[in-house]
Amino acid sequence: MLQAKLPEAVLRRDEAFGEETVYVAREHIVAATTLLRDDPDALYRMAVYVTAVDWPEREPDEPRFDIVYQLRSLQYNDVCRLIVQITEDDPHVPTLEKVFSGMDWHERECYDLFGIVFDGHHDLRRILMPEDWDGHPLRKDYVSFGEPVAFTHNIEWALPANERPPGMPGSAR
Amino acid sequence: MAAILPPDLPELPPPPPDAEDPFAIARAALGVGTENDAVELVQIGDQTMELNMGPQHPSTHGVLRLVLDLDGEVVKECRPDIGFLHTGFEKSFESHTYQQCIPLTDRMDYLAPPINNFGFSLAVEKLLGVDVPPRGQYIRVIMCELARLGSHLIWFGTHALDLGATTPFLYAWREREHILDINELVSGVRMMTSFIRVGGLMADVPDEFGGMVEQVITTFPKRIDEYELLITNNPIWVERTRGLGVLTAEDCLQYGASGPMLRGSGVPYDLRKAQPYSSYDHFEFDIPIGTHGDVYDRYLVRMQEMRESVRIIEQAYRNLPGGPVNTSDRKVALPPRNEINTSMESLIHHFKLVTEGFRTPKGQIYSAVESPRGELGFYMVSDGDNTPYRCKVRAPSFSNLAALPHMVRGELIADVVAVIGSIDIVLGDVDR
Amino acid sequence: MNDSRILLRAQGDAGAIPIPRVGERERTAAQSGVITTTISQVIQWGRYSSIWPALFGLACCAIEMMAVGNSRYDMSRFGAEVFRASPRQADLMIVAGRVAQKMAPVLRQIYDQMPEPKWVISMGACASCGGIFNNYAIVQGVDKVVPVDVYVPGCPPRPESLLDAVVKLQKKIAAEPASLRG
Repeated sequence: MLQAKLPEAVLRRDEAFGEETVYVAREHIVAATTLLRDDPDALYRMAVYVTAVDWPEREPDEPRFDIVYQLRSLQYNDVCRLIVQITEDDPHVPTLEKVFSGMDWHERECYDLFGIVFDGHHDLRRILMPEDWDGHPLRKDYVSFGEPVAFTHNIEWALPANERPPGMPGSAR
Repeated sequence: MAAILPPDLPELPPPPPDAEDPFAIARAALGVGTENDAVELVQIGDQTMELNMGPQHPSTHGVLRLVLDLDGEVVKECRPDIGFLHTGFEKSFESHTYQQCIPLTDRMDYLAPPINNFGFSLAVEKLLGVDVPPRGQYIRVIMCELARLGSHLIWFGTHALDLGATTPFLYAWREREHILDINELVSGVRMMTSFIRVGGLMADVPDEFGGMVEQVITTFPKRIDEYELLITNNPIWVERTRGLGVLTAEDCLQYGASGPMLRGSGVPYDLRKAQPYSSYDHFEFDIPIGTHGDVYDRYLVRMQEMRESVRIIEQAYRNLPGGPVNTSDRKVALPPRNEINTSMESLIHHFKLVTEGFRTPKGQIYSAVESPRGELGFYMVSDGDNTPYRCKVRAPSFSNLAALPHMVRGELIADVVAVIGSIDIVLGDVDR
Repeated sequence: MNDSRILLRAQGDAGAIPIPRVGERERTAAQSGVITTTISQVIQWGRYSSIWPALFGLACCAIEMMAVGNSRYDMSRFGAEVFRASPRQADLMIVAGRVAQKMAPVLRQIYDQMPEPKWVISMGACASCGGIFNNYAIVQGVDKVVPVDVYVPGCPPRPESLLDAVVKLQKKIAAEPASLRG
């Protein structure tokens, strides 16, 4: 249906596991979601979430990030998924804040965890990590470091911080 | 679907047209005009005070920080600051096999852990294309509805405690102990059961399960009556919650609020009815909806949901079919122990499942269940490996909380506490 | 700042909490209602008999902590049911739940706001060592931030475990001289 009304937005469609995914061009995402929200045949008026998936192996042939939007239509009892693909060098997407107020926090979370910049967002700052955190945790190249389990061969991990040998990584804040 | 008729209460005063006067709400509630003021109130300047309702606070239901811009007692703006419980679940999912993710999912929405397990299992089963036998489905429904009861009991106890009623807190936890006893019976753990797994359940339920479920079915309706007797028509409760924190249906949809928030605003949408999963369509139950979308209506919706949960449990238990609880697909669920002794293939399947886990086909799906807070969704992307490539958890409390600034603008500080209680947030869900 | 790695030594018989002892010479005096003890023991007896925990429930362990305070596993029996919201009025901080990176400075600030003498129970696996979350977001054990007196394993610990921790803390307090924490 989106193809019929706004053909230049749709790049391709995928169907699997009984669900349909529509790949949308970045410039048209706002128009596409507004159409899906207001059109009487669609009425996808509930914002479910915005998130991103990081495919670093796809570069440089294909864009690295998949920005996934999910909308729900209560009247027609349906969900629809839109995907915008963007590259790492230009991680900008227009914001959907004006279309759905709930996308505000979801976009902030996406920025926090992936580094995707949403143009036009009124207050894009970190929401889950501390304000001065370095890095974007959910990217695939971000190594999630906690602490190794201490055995006898690496017993220095079980010592308190002031008794450890110098130069050990991963000090807590 | 039954709409709740509020008890016989006087009509609310019309909302004040004047947004400038900071005492407009109070004046309208008391029905007085400016002629009764002892002094003439002149706005001298903007005296907004920024107050921090910090992460450590008895009434924020966890580690939520609210920065409130106050003019006297009236909230001009509320800026929630979350992330004080961010655990990196989604990153952890990517490095654990699917079975290893199940105990992680328990700890997200920690008031109703089986429902997180359920959502995750359903998502993975959708990817794999396996079916759970009817007995497994019915027992899943029973455990989830018990979890919903437990979660609503905690909501009830803490919400009432925030607004000053200390008795319901003790009553609710006394009831919850019965539910935790059932959890402990079937899985060995009081709270984080990890009982509902991909392909079915951890194991079949023991014989004492029946007696304990019967006890829940017979005693809970009277208990819920007891709670309603204490609170529902209590003038203090009504005064404090009616007309407060109104969220229209349109606002709910804009923010993505779901669950009792959506139903309290009059939208009859419940995932258990709209997209029935795990044989919810075999059971007859109603969806309570409210009319005004205020805190009081959400309270009534949740109380009625407790009764409906008991109804579902009764139907599921009375009609519990026999048979296996796990899917027969040996590549997904562990084979029964006696088969391992006789069949080489079962032994190999067991070995592979325990060491490596199963692999899912490539693709992406979205699967949602109805948690006590709303729509708990799992967006799972798989690249053919035995770990999820990306598992996004669509947490209901995250979206519900996004509507908080909208709901408390113009209310008094004490009302902020009431509104937070009515959203029923779980910070583990919000922050993941 | 006290280093709280004081090993708990069993005192007298294994289950008993020491109470002020009657001296030999004062037996007849005791019959007329006089007992002798040391000031230190009496002070510590007062301290451990009414420990006031500060509300610091973070995550799932907080639910079990609330269950401990309720009717079935009653913490009032140990004098500790009064959960104070303000850290200024509390002397025990039960860190119940996982501590995220954003929460760690807040935890330290609340600990600093508590007046001496104060104790810390690290409840649950996440508070003790990071638990099942060995990743970027969780502080691997609150003893990186505050000194801990009793560690309670479990995920979440059973209410009886938390009560055992409170009892152990009481024994520990009884074993300390009263002047150690001012």
